[in-house]
Amino acid sequence: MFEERRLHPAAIIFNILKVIKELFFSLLIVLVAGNFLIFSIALGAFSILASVYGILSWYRFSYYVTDDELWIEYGIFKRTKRSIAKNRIQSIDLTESVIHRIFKLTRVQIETASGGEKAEAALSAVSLKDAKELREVLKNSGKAGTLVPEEMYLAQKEISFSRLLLAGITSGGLGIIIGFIVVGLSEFDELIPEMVYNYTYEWLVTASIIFIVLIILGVLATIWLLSILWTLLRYGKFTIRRTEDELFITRGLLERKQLTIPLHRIQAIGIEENILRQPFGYAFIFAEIAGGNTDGKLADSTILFPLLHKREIAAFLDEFAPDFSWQEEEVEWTKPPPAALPYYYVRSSVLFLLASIAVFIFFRSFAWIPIALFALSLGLGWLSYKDAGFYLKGNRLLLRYRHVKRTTVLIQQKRIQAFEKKNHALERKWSLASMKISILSNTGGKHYHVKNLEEEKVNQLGDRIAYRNKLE
Amino acid sequence: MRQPPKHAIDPRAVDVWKISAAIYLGILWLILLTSVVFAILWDWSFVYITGAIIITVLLSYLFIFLFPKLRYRRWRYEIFEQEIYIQHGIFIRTRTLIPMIRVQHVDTEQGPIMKRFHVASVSISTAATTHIIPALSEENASDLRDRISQLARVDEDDV
Repeated sequence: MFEERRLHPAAIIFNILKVIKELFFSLLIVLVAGNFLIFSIALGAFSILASVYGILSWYRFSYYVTDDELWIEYGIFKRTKRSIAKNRIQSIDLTESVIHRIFKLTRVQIETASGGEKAEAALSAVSLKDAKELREVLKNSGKAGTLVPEEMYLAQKEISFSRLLLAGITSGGLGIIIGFIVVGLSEFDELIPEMVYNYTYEWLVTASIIFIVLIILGVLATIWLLSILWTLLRYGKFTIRRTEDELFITRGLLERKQLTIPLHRIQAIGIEENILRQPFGYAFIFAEIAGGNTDGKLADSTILFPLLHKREIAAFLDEFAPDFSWQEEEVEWTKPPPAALPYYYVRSSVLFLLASIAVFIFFRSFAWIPIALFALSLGLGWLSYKDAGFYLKGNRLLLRYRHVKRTTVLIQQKRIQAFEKKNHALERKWSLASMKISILSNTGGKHYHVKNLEEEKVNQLGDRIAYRNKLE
Repeated sequence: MRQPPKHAIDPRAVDVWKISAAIYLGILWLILLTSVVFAILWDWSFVYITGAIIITVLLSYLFIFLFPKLRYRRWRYEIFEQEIYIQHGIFIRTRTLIPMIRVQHVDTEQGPIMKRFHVASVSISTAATTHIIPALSEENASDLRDRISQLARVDEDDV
């Protein structure tokens, strides 16, 4: 099988880096509190200890595969021996940081069904050849099926560079920046005339104000460019492939990441359209996955594709997640009734209304800013009202709601963990009700709300979801 | 979901809630009395103290006398073979459906006050949510726990 072996010696580097990361602050304290001599001694001792630790923990770490299990042994003094049953393994993820790529290595993360941030087993440095071999050996008897050769993929899609660039340009960063510019510029409009006409050195003042404006614009442009760059680095060469029962995602320009998602663990698929992308018909697709894959960060949904046009979504889901395939044209949304509109307005604008009143009382000349925001928030309330809705057909439940971004969620009915109908006295008077649907995600639970629908419609949905009614 | 669930919880729940609310408000009253003493000693303005007393009296009435009754009246539950159906909420009425196959474990819990009144709570956990039926008689609670765990014991394909 896969005989006992150590990690690649480069793992020593990662061990040392880990120690540095953990002890960085205590070293900093020594530097601040003590004098230079003490610091030098501490630094020397620290480097030696870190190196010794790095080497020893590499030397004492080994792994091998038997017929049914992956075994890992580690610990310098306290030895730990861990076994993970092959058929319990949900996914094997590979991550290559820049250091890994220099040595042609990869980090291997092995996940079982249990959730949480930490992988069940992480091999910090394995040569690409070993990693491939390991993966084949682990999958051979696993329920996940055998590794498929390149040409056997059922579907494959890579992001084009222009699309990627578009994703960067329209990523959230820009919205914030445009807001800044709009508020900032109009505020300068207010300020400039007064200053220009009051001061003798008017040209100088004007020049310096222009200078300040330029600097601010420069900073904003830099932030924007950085957010584009970040998107390019993170999602560069984004490729998704599908076999019979798994999805493979590779992404990243500097740090390469390879994720495995078993199709049967996808709890829901979401389509998110931010306010910049929606007018052009673009959205990104994410998945909620039970356990395992956290894609690095906790509380993060797993991105299935960074940017797709509305027209492409149905085809994409057909190919990559057929259990969730769905045609926008077929959907007949059950939407909130007109009586719900006031609630949407109040929810979206109440904060801005209060702010407007407060600013109006204390800084009357600036009151137009919160008042303008208040008007915008009313618009947002109207959009949220227009967009909210649900649709149930067969086993598939669609929810749509908007906070600022418009989110559409596709859930398989059997995945629902709990269904909740809520209404307060006022809603009851108008026969309205809100609902909350809970599903499982890698962080525990994910809850989706659709607000102020007709009570009768929510009742019907609850009855249709209830299992007991299906038996009759 | 038009009909509320059938069963009410144990009426002794009202007493349990009253007592635990009284304990919390007792602390508030102690703080209030201390500040009254300070106010007398150091001649503080009595406007704020009067305000605080009015608010505390109001809170005491709401949390000790009014809310427990309302909460009890609203609380209902029903167990079906395929799911659990719960209703609660004084202001926001919430009705929850929990599919039986999603139930991961059921616990009964009993604090000191509940023990005194021979009631226990039943908490039902799915992988994503937890739901607590706050007060049932001891026998009812353990019966319910056993019944749910029996019903929930089905072959799960995943999660």
